[in-house]
Order: sequence, then C-alpha cells, then structure tokens
Amino acid sequence: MQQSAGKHLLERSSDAKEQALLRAIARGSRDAMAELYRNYYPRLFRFLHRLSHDYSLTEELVNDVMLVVWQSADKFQGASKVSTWILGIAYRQGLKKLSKRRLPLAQDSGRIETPVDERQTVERRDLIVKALSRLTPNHRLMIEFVLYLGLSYREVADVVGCPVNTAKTRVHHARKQLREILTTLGYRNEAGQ
Amino acid sequence: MSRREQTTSPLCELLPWYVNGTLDEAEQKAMIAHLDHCQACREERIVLGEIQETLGREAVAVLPRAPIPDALFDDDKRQRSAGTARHAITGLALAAGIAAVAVAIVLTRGPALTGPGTLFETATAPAVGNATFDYVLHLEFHGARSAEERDATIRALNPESVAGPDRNGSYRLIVRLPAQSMDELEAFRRRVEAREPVSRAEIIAIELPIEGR
Repeated sequence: MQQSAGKHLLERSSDAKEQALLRAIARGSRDAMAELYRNYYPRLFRFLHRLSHDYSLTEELVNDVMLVVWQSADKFQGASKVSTWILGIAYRQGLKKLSKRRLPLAQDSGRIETPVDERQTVERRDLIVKALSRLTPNHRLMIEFVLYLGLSYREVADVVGCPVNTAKTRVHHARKQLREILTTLGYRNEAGQ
Repeated sequence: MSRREQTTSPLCELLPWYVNGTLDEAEQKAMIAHLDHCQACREERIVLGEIQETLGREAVAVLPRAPIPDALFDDDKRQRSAGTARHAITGLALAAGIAAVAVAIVLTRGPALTGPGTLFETATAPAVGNATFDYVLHLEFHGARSAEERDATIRALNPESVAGPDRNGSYRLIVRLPAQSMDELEAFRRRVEAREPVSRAEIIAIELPIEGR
C-alpha cells in the first residue's frame, strides 16, 4: 500500500478555515473567493488536466467549477468537507464536458529510447495509460478517485452523491472494464500474470 | 473455492481501498486474511498497485496562468437563491505575489504567459542544495518539419516523460535539471528555443523530485 499521489487534494487546507471562506463567499466576499480560488485552482487544474490533457479545456473546466462555487456557496450545508464538495462539483462538471469527447492518450513514452532493463516496466505503464484512456469518463474518474486521489469509499460516495454501496459498485464496474481493456491490450503484470 | 466464487466476495470489492490504504483496521485485517486464499485478488492487487504507481508518475504540478477571470464575478451571472445579497463586483485581480503550493512553483515568462493580469510569478526558483528538479517544458514546433526531426529534438532533451501533441500541437516534457534560478532556467529555455525545429519553448512549472523515481 502507498499514499496516493493526489491525496493532498483533500488534505492541504483546514476544513474549518475553508468552511469560513465559503460562508464569506455566500455573503458575497470577493476576497474570500479569491483566496479559495487561489487555493483550489492548482489542485483542480492538476486533477482535471489528468483527465483532459488539454490546457484550454482544463482552464475552462476549472473556471466552470469555480463559477458554480461562487454561485452556490450558500447551498453548502456542511455535510461533507469543503474539498469533497468542490471535488463533487468538479466531478459533475468534468463528466458533463468529458463525456462529449474521447479522452486522449496521455503519454507516449515509447517515443523515447529507454534502457533495456526498464523497457518492460515502461511498456506495462504505457499499456496502463492506454487502457485508462479507453475507459469511459465515469469509469476513469472512479479509478482516479481511488488510486490517484486516494479517496475512501465513503469519500467517493460523498463526491459522487450516491450511497456507499453504489460507490463500491461503480468502482467495481470501472475495475472490470479496466481489466477487460488491459487483457485486450495484452497486459501482463510484473509477476507475469 | 473457485475463482468465480472468490471474485464475488464482498471483500473483493474493497480491494482498491486496501491498495490506497483507506480501509479501517478491521477491514484491513479481513482483507489480509482474504488475500491469503483469494488468488484473483492477489493478482489484481499487483495490477492495481501498478496502476496507482502509473497514475502517481503522471502527476504534474501545474499552476495557474491567470487570476480569477473577471467574468466569474459578473453580477449578471450570479444567480443566488432568494434573499442572498447581491454584490456588484468588477475588476477583481488577485494580489500580486507568489502563489506557493506545496510541491510546485510557477515560473511564468514570455508573452504567452504574461497577458493582462498574470500575477503568479516567482522572483527565483527554489534553491535546495544541489537537487535537481523536474521542470515542465512546453514545446511547439514549426508545422512544416518532419515527425522524425521533431522526435529527435524531443529525445535530445532527455525527458523523463513526454505527452502530446495536444490539440494545439504542443508537447509537454518533464525534464530534470539542476537549474535553481530564473536566470539558469531562462538560459536553458533560450537554448531549447534556438534549436531547430522548435518554434516556442515555455517552462511553466516545476515538480519537486519524487522519491524513488
């Protein structure tokens, strides 16, 4: 087990402070909005860019998310962490836009010469990247939530806005689709299985 | 127990959260016991670990190029629920200065990144002993050049990873450099931009070294 690379998305800021910011935003404070924007823009950008691999689209998406935050801060009920609420908005906005387009291939490391002893690892990673790019946006998001952001199943349920068992089922379906694609691509893990 | 039976166990559903380390203690213990006799989960655990590692390697710190768009505060767009005060907000710009994020510092330069209101700048890149940093380099090429020439140029930069082309035809490279000042970075950028067939090079962010890379 290892700490997920993107876990910081949910951990960087104090939730109490962010709740105070949201209350101020709900009252119309542009300073509070500026602070929240400054805190979240890089995190959201990094996450959404992983899905779109397109700078213009990502900028557009992040601003869509922040616009919803600006418009809906007064609807935040405090039932979840602020970061979870914002990630939920990003999930819905991202899904809406990304569902209309095929997610592009993220990386093509095969273009670069690689030492022989690393080649198999690189090839496996390339297959994983390819397989991830072939997932439906919803399935891709499920995988990113768990294996990149490191969300617990309760957090996934909060972000997606569904019961915990539904969240588990969605991740299960995403795993299933990923396994099928990996098999089609001829992936064999480091144990050769 | 057959493989089909094994994969229908409720514990099989928890495997991704075992891999990401968010199960509680009792669930973890149950999963460890389950892994002892479930071959399908043992195999998938390896795959999920590789996926997690791959996703982690893809993570690149990218910082904002622009402040909050004025449009975000356009009063006409703000549609709060009834009873909420409306505020006329115009022309907001974030305070100039450093936007420090734990793992990254934006390095803006050149006309493409210094449009009106580009306020996230640093005076110097961080100096951390003799450490090297992973810099994110964006490259654009002259359209008429061959793919071979383009690939050779990318390869010559010895990148850690390459992504692209995006829909604008640019490539993103992660290059590991010892540069620790803006001057060093600028000198590197100029050398890259002077190469054929590069038409434009930008360094937009850095990512601190990732342990074990």
